[in-house]
Amino acid sequence: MLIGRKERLFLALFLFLDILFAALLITLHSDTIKIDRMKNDVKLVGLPDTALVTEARFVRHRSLTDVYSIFDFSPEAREVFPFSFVYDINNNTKGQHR
Amino acid sequence: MKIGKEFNIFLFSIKLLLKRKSSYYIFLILMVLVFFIASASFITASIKKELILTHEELPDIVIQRVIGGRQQYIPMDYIDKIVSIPGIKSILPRVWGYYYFDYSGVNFSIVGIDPLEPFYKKSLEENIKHIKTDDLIKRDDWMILGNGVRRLFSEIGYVDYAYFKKPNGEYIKLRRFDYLTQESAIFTNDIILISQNTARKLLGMDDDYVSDIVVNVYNKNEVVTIAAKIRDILKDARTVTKKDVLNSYQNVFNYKLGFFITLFGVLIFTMMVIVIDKLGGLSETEKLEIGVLKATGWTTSDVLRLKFYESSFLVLQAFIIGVLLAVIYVYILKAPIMMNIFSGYASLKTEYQLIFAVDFKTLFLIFIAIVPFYIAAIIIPTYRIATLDTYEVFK
Repeated sequence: MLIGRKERLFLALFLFLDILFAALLITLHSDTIKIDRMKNDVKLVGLPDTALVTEARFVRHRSLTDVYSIFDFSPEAREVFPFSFVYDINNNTKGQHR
Repeated sequence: MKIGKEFNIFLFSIKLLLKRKSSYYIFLILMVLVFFIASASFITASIKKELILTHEELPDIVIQRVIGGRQQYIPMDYIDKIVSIPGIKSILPRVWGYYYFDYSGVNFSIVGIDPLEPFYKKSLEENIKHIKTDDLIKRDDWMILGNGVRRLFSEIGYVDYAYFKKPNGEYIKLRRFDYLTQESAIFTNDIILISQNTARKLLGMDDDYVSDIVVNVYNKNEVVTIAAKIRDILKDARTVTKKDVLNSYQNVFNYKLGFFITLFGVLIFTMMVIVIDKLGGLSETEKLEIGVLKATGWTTSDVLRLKFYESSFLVLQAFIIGVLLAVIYVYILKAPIMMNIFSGYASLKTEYQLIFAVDFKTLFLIFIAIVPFYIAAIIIPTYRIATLDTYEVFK
């Protein structure tokens, strides 16, 4: 027989990991309850944006503020790493209707 | 048998792989690289999916009052001015703002809700099980906490009651009524729902003022027109439509993409190093292996097939295991350290629930950047050596 015990163990391990990978993908893919709970809570609260960064209003509810909101807190544009350099003033499409 | 022969070549290639030390290192490096990039892409894909899916639940138009570049509270009688615009389904005044909790140095988002309002009553009953909205109507000193606030309060001993400071320095005592589910923590982590009267007191707002007004419309195609009409009537108003919010989200994704590109650069660089190293010639042991195989009667195509199985097994398994580890790290372990990159420095401590989302484009990009290059980097020098005379190789 060409295949030794070590190789057999090795192949079995990788086969197992591959099956585990496929199984994880399938089980995680069918998990849709969470997003419904999220949607309900967002509907109740009615405010956009994630609570990942809560420092101030211009980062917390970024979509509802404008670039000038930064100056509500301080006359200088305060750096909030790493979130504030996400936002490009030229790229901001809000207020263009005005 | 043909398949039997191929399988034997495959088994033999595994044997050779296990014998060589360098294959372990290459496997490890590729796996770690794939793991990092795949975890970053899983996190961003999750956040993106959550934002895009929940954005549908937001109100169609938010009316804000901006004077001198600063947002102000809106007088209630603005509602009477816009109520006659055709196509508007509902108008809802909102009271919300921020509360700086200086004991812990965090900002809460205070949202005032009116349990008598049918919209709030309905969504409260949908969201929180066994809630009795009648209790909320009877009294004013209740609060419903987001998950992060709840945890923070229980850490500092605000178990049933919490004290909030009004703008004039007086304190008010609020009783914890309920809390929001942990599943939505990524959106409601810093939210405190209180009654509109209490919110007005905390935010220093008069009774005939609100923070902003939200408008829902019947026909989604009319949103832009109705927003334009509202701006026409209310001269100092700014409207933020659902589309604007989506555009704003897009900016966030651009940044996250930048983070990803940085990692991707590392991957490309590593692959270049591996490929250049391999193209410079195979190692002595590998040369010897090919020489021995040729001497014992293997044809060139057999040797090439052997090397193809060997390299594709190594690189494919490294890819799959890397992605598998990323899935476990992000969705089961909840991305312990990497998530800090995405959240701010003063954020409340949280357990974010990331929903499962795969960015197939990114995974495919990683796959393309690794698998064919590595296989080619093995096959090409092998071909060069295998076509040499056996005597030359041993010399």
